Amino acid sequence: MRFLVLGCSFRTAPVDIRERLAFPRERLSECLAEIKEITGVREAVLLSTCNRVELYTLVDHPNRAEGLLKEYLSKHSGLDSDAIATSTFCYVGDEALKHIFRVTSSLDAMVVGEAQVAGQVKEAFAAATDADTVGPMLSRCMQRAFGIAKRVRTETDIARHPASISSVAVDLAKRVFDDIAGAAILVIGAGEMAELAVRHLIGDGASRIHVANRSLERGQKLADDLGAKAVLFEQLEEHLIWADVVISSTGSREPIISRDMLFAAMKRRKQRPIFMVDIAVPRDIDADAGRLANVYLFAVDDLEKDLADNLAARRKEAVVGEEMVLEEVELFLAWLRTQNAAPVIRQLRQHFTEVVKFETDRTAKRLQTNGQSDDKAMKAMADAIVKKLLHGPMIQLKRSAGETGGGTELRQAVRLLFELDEPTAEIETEREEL
Amino acid sequence: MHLFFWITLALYTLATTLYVANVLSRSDRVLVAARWVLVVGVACHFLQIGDLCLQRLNPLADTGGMLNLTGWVLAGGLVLVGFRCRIAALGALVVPLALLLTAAGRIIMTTGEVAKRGAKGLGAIHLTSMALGVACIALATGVSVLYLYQEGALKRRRLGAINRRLPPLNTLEHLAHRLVTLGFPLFTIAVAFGVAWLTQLYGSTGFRIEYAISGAIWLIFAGLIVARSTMGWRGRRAAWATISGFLGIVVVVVIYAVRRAGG
Repeated sequence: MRFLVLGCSFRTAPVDIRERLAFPRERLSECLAEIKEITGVREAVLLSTCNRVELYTLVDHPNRAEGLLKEYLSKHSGLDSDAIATSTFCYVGDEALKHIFRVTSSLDAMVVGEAQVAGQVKEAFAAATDADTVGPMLSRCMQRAFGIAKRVRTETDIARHPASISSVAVDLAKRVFDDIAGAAILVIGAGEMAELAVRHLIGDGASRIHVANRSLERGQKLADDLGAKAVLFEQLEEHLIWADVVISSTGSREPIISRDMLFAAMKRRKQRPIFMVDIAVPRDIDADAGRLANVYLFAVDDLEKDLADNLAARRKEAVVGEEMVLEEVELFLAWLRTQNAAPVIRQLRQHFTEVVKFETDRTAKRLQTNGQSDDKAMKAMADAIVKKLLHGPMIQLKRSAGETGGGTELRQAVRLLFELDEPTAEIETEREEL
Repeated sequence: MHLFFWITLALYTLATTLYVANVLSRSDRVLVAARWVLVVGVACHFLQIGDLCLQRLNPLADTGGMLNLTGWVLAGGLVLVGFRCRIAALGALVVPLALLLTAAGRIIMTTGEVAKRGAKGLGAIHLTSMALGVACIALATGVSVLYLYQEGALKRRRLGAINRRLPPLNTLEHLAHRLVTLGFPLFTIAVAFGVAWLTQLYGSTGFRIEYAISGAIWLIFAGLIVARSTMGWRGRRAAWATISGFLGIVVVVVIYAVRRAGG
């Protein structure tokens, strides 16, 4: 049995192909059951997101399973086999493991390090567990993948760097204020970027949001959308006294907040820090205002530069993450190898138990019927057990001794298994005499 | 005394190394190890001070004893601050200081008959409150240094990996203010009882430079607390005021130590 991954992602297939290959959430359970029915597929997890559709499986014969799974995808999507062949990838064995670990750790994501991916894989695994299509092997593999994802997130800085303009702005605000939820937020203008930034702030718990727009009506509409309060644009100077975070994106040709206006406001707010994001072009806030004490002003260029730095930093951290994944693949493969011995161990234990049970039952019966002495019965039982357990190995040893090579390997294996010492000189002499 | 002292010193050195390693490597495991080593170090330092008492030596015999106690309070304070907010970088600043104070305290600490007699009454209050006050102000200074570092990076718009691990400016500013507010009354008590103690011991000692510096330090912290509530003195100004106040304390301690070494 081997792990096999078959699927497509934003790297291999355009969105129109991914759309057709995608599995609707409500049909996931049914589709998983169908996949499990395919000959040779032992276990399966199905990950279907906007950026990828992937099947994580444990199969008997990878080549045969790949063909059958591709046929299934073709039937499901209505795409012909050529389209499936060109837009999908297939990994087997350690490559499959590596892929599952990389995807879960968000190293293969469109925005490397985004937190969403691990959650989506968890959901896919939960769905497969509910549909009863995962067994011990894939389950162990997925659990390991989640462990690695956590390790990559905590031991590298991959997730510490925001990856969009609005999230950069929110991240910077959090460098000034410990409690975004308690911060008073003023949105000036009703631009799309400002709205995005505020939505990010809301995601972080911000609730005291006010919108000031030249057109009160439009401001009110945005305020309603955001669950905020509309305030008068004309009273901007007053608003600067209570606002902790200001996000400005008006279409004004001239700065609407001058250095002097902010200087006066800072005096009245007793120098409490204020964080300002100016997303407007031309700028809404006089650049000199950023030089005032306790004023932290960021323009769109600053945010873009930060974003570029962050993405580069994420890529750098991803290299460390890749090393971790390789390390973990090796560990998992080592664990898999130990699993090869498991069936033999189970059989051996069962055989020994059966022999002992048979002999103990027989001895108990003898004791009841014949009235044999306990000592004698115990000795007979022990002898019988030893004889039975050694019967098979002895026959094999004798047989192999007669074959070419004299059964040296088997003898060595027996010594190793039963921790027997090398034969002494005395035994060797006896052997020669025989 | 020697055994606990050397173990404490070794643990503080190890904790310093681990805190610095954490700042450089950003490994959470190293940080956890640093915290545990510091906790054990603080416990060992406590045993060292307790051992002095068992030997009937006054741990607050003089400036050396006060520095030793300050080192302990400082390290213990860092452990307590660590419960409230995660400021790993603070450890890299404060633990070396605690190490330095403990070592310096040991070097100039009085032993023998003087130590058995030690400071009592006014002197004990002076030295104890000074140790506590200085520890609070030293912690506030560490936090202020981090504030300036973080604030500078934000103003220059150049946030590095270390900045990303520091708490927000607001947290640092509030913490420094709280520590100054806590340290200032203790420092005031220390100055008042110090004057009374010296007068009791030697009568009038006349003008000394350390008295003037202590007065200036007191004015700096008093001014800082009043100006913050009335004029909103905070941020960089407050951080620099705290740092300069602490440097003044260092100067006074050095003067006392030199004076003592010179007999």
